[in-house]
Amino acid sequence: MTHLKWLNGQINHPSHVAVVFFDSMKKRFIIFFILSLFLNFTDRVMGLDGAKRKVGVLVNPLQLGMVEARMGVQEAFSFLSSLPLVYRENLQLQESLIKYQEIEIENLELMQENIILREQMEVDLPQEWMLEPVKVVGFTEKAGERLVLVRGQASQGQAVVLGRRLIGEVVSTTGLLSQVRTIYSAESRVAVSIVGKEEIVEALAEGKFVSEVYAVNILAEKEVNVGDLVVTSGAAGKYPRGLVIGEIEDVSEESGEVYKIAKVKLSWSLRQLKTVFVM
Amino acid sequence: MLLTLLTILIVLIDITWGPLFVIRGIAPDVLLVWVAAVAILRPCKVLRLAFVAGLLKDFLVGCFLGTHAGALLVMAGLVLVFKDRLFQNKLMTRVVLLGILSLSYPVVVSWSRGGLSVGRVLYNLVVFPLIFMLVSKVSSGNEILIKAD
Repeated sequence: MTHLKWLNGQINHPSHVAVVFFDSMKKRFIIFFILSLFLNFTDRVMGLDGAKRKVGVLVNPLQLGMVEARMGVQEAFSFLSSLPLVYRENLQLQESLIKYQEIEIENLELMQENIILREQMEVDLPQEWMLEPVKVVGFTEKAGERLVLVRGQASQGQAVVLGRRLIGEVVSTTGLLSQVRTIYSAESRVAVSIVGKEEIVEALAEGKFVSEVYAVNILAEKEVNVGDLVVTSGAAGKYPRGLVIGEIEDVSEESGEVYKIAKVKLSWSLRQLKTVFVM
Repeated sequence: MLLTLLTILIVLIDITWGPLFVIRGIAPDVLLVWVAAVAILRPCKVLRLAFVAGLLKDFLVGCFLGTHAGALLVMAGLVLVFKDRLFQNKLMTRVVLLGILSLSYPVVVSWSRGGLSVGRVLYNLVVFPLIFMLVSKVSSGNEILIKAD
């Protein structure tokens, strides 16, 4: 009843309360409504921009603060609501990325193969050798021997080359996959000629320790020097003459021995093989 | 005093936070619902509050002064006239009243904002219980009980 203080002096009976209250409200309503109409009319006709600016000075910072707060809340909500979508997009992007990486790897391999093919084409080899490119797909172990797996048309006994360099020979074929024994293999024997400055020395190239090649059966009285070129001699008939094995890196000789051996440095390694050519 | 401050806050929320409550392009008339709730619970104060709130909204929105003030006054007046004549203190009275207000408010303001929209009426009805509870909390213990013989 505290709010009825303004009605003091007008109420004589409880039944008058409502009547007096509504009369008073009606008056108040009419006053406020006329005031509204007056303000509206004045603003339309004369313009109350001055008053608006003055009030704006007070309320605009408050409004700005509220807008900023709303934007913060809105951003937080939109961030939260977009999380599932972002997660799904992220997954899709990851899948796309993997696909693109696969394509990139494939392109890189094709590019390397292209370079190798170009290099091979530039090598001056007899046309009757009929080189066929095969792709190196991996390595395999067989009875302690490391063999190179290649995919492509090849048959047993074919020589495998890269440029003018001898890589090895095809030892077995299963469908499109073939196993190549490289000259690094301990089972590999290649008849070679060591081309020195003064003479050509016949020898045998043998693989050792998976990553080394030695020229053996070199007669002790023959002169072999570091840097001499080692090429296939074609003596055994397995490989054509003139394929490069490498160059002499080190010669070891013991007094009283009939033969001496020399370590041959090759210009390629198993890891570098991507595409090779069967002859 | 608290009611006045809250009314100012509601005006600011209505204007600045409106986009937060938009569902399918429809935003509730928070200020209208607030005035309706005050008119039901605090009839003696509603006219002054409606006028002040409407005027503040006019200032903030940048329309001609008195537009919202007059419209909210009419709305408050409608509530005062009808609230005791229809089913007194019945939920249906409030629902019908608020529905009428929601439809007539844009017309009175001459302010399109989507024009007449059933969606907005429903939205206002959804918002109404919350605001009604807020007003009743604020005005608890001070409510005027007017009973005629």
